[in-house]
Amino acid sequence: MIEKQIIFRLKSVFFISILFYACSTYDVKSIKLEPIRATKFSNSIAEKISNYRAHHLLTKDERMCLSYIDVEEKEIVVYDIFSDTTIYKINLSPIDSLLKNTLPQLNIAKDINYCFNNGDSIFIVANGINAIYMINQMGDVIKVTNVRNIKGADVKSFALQYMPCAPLTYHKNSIHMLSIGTDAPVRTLDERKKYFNTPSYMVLNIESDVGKIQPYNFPHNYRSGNCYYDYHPIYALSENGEVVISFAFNDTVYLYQGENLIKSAAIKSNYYVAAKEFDENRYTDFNYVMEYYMTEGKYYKTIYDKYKKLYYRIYLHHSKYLTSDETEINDKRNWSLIIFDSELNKLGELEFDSRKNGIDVIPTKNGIAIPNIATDTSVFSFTEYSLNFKSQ
Amino acid sequence: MRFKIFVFLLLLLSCKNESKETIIFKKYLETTHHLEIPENSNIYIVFPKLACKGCVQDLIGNIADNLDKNKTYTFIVSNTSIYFPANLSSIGKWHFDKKGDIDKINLGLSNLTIIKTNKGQVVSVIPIDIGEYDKLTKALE
Repeated sequence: MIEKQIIFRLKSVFFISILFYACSTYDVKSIKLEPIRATKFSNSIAEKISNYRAHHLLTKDERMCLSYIDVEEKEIVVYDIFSDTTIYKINLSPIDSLLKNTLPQLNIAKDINYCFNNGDSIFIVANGINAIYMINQMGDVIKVTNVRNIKGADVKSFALQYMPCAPLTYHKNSIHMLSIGTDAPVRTLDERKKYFNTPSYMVLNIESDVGKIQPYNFPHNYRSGNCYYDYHPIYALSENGEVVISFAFNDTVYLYQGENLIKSAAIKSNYYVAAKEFDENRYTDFNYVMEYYMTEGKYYKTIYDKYKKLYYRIYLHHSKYLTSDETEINDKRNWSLIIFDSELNKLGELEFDSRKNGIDVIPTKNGIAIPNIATDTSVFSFTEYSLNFKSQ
Repeated sequence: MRFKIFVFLLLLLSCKNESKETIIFKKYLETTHHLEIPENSNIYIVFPKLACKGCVQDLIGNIADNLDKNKTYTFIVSNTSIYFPANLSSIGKWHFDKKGDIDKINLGLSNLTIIKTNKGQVVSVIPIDIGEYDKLTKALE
């Protein structure tokens, strides 16, 4: 009798577990990547790309393009990756002269970044200048928006910033970027607690000179003052104004429609390992900074795919700091592409090894294109893959 | 037996007991610049990419005044964002590491680092941090 009761209870637990599992999982799908085409750049372009950081990947008229600054010619070059042809060039001499009036030591190759508005107008921001410049395809400066005030920012002075996690982005008459408080130190626990209560993601209406802080909160592990050597939100925008905000050392993703928080959910990598804290006494020890960067996994950026209406969250896996013989610093690490939809459902995760570059993934009409990392830095190549979803 | 001991000692002495730093730096100089560490004492002044640009620029102003004309200096540069004043560029030998191989070796290089060598061996590796003017002066002696 007792045995029967035990068997009945075990069966009940088993069925309840099955039911609970079925209710708690998303419609996770298996995703298959299949290569469609690959390309290699000519050496001269590869050298320019490897030399200068200011390059962007974009799609124009359904073509996959790479844009970069040609320093010698002072031009932004927009280049079709797969047909190996230059589509057009934008003269940077007028904006170079204008910027140098404000900042004589400015180096156009290293100190500016830009984003496109459908290729017809280009927005430029320069390090050290709190202004947005709009130029046309001829390079003529059409409009200058000096950013004088930022609504909702609890800082006395600020500097406009952009980075891979927070790219300079144009959307409906507004520029999205960061405004970092220049009077907001982050060295001590108390300083970080204050800093992480001060959002820095700014939306600037280019018709006015006033920016507005996008409302969001840093997650609890940041607000409690933990030190990860990471201070900025990661954001991605959809074409209808959805903003997805997340953080390098936290699983949660927040979905906003404009300023309103719609929902949040954990979009966690299968390879996630909780990071240990950065030693706040070693900020100037760059070797330690590098070691921390390589040995702790982190969410790196989020990319919106306008063709498939999906988001891709890049997770850099933790790796080793030194090679096995300890003579060199290891620069190889695996990474994952986590795919989720605008309902914040994780659809799947693809793992890549260090031969693929997770930093410059670009969504395409047919799938996604990923740069290949070659040992020879003068070769720069892409492979485009189709993304095939199959329900499990 | 004495002969065997003599041969053993001879073999032991003939093996160069090189430090890890020497092995790494030697390999770097040979592979990237086709150079050897000279027998005479030499001071390598290294500017890796791993650096705080403003801090290094600040330290550079203190280098030229502290260099001894009787010593041999070799500059190795992978950090292209640094501006070198003319009075410094005319001193010593300069090697630009465009591929950044120097940034990959495990010698704890950052900001501005002084590598001192003598008799073909690395004697010391001295990274100079923000505002460490006295340490820089001493390292260049």
